[in-house]
Amino acid sequence: MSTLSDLVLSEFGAVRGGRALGDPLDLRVAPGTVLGVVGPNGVGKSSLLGALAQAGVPSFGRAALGGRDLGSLRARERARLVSLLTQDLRAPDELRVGELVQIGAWASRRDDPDAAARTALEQAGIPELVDRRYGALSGGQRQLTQIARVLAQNTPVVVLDEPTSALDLYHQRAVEQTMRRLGNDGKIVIAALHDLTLALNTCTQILLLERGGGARTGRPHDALRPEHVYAAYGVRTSIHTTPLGRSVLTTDDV
Amino acid sequence: MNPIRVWLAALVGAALLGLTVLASLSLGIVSMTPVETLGALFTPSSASQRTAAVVWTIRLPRIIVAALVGAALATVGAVMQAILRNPLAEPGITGVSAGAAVGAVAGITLGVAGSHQWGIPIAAFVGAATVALILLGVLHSRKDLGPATIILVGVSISALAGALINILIANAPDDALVRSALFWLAGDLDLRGWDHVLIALVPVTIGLAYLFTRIRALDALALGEQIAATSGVNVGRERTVLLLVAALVTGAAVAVSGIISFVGLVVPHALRLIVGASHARLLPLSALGGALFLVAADTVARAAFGAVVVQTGVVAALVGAPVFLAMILRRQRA
Repeated sequence: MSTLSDLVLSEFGAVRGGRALGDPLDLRVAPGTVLGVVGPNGVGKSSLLGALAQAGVPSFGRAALGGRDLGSLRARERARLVSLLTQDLRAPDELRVGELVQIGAWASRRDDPDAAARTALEQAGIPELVDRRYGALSGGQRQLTQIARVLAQNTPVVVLDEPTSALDLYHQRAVEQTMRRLGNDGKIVIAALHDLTLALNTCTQILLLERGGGARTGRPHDALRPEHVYAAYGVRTSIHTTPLGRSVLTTDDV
Repeated sequence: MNPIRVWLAALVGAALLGLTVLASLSLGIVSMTPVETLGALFTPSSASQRTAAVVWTIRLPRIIVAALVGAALATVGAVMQAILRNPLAEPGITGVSAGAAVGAVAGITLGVAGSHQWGIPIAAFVGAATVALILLGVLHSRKDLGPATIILVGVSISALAGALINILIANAPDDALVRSALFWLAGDLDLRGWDHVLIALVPVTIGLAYLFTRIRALDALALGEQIAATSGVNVGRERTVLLLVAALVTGAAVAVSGIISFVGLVVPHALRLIVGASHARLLPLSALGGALFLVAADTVARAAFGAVVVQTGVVAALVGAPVFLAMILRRQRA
């Protein structure tokens, strides 16, 4: 069923070095979807996410939310609709964690940025870091801080580029839960992921980008079938199911 | 960040600025007690004519020029460091100071500026504005340029300006003009009067007021272009306007002072350690800190070395360089 707040990509794609990255995409993403964008290195996952979030990455085609073309909206309006976690985690060393997270709350003009930041830090599982200097944080803590900034922005579309790349097992699980919760809250989550096991267990839909420019969409267990993964990555894999019902994707080659 | 700490920093800074201004008004070849100085400042009619003239005609405009230039350079330094996401960015990084230098040195060595008291500042400002226009053209034609490329554009412009300055100095008609040009390049506040205050006051005040309204955008830009773009900032337009305003403020400041380095680097770095990196606090306190730093440096340059000639810019670098080095090493250890 489609609603007025669907994210619709029509003949959409990112441009790098003046050339289209991959074939034009046509995709409809409903609220509540956690869309995993997967594919080998260099295939354009981050560029696609940046283009979709209108973060300055050149693009072609149209990306619309609820019928409104994201590309023609003013930056301030768009900041209420789409938030972005990038892989670039740099920020001034002397910025306090709470202040950085507040930037997200300011972006979407939340009534009480300070309270919004504190709530977001709790949701990200790092309320104790609120007064810490950003420069004193570990890579994983920085990633969680930036995730909290995105949560504080509280937008209907949340775009996350490799949200667990710097995280330990405990925080990986926490982010996984956060992504699911955002989906359950009716948001659209779009995450670029390298960890296909994470993609299998967290996402409700997969966009698998292939080297030749093609793309495959579908439910996780369909899109990530071993033959599809082999076609995209050139690696033979199998999917196993743990006694608790969790799927694990492993490589077959030793 | 503890607000008490921020207010304390502001109060201490303001008090130190007041005391430094009083010291600067009192010290020099004609030395006065603070009471005499205050008398000449607030009731010049009751002070001796000589004292009143020293305070009102010679020292006060020079102090105001130093304060304006210091405030401008430190604030613009903080802005540049955010826009370009580079801790080494300083007001002159876009080549605008080098442009001002070409204008001033051309004005001095070709003799066109010496005949009018506004000649050199105007020539310098024209040089700075020319570079600002070139920068605007580059940013307008290539909206995809990242911070590193903008810095490289500045490096190219500065190199070109350096070459032009060398040609002008090598071909100056007489040595006195060369000496005059070298003084300008070293940042000299000697003989700065109310004319200079007038030239710098309006662009610096308007420019800084504008920059103070952009603190949220600067906070977002410091996190990177992509995050800024998804945080409500129109990155291309915001960065172009900020760079242009920063260039014009720098141009107006450098036009009346000559090249003064390190203020834009040391002051924001030192203040970040005290009040953090949020621009709501960093920008106003950088203005205050920059004013304090340069008034103090100018007082030392003017009064501490007796007959030995030391320019304000030289003192700023003499103090600024080791302080900056110590700060970097300390931060690295932390």
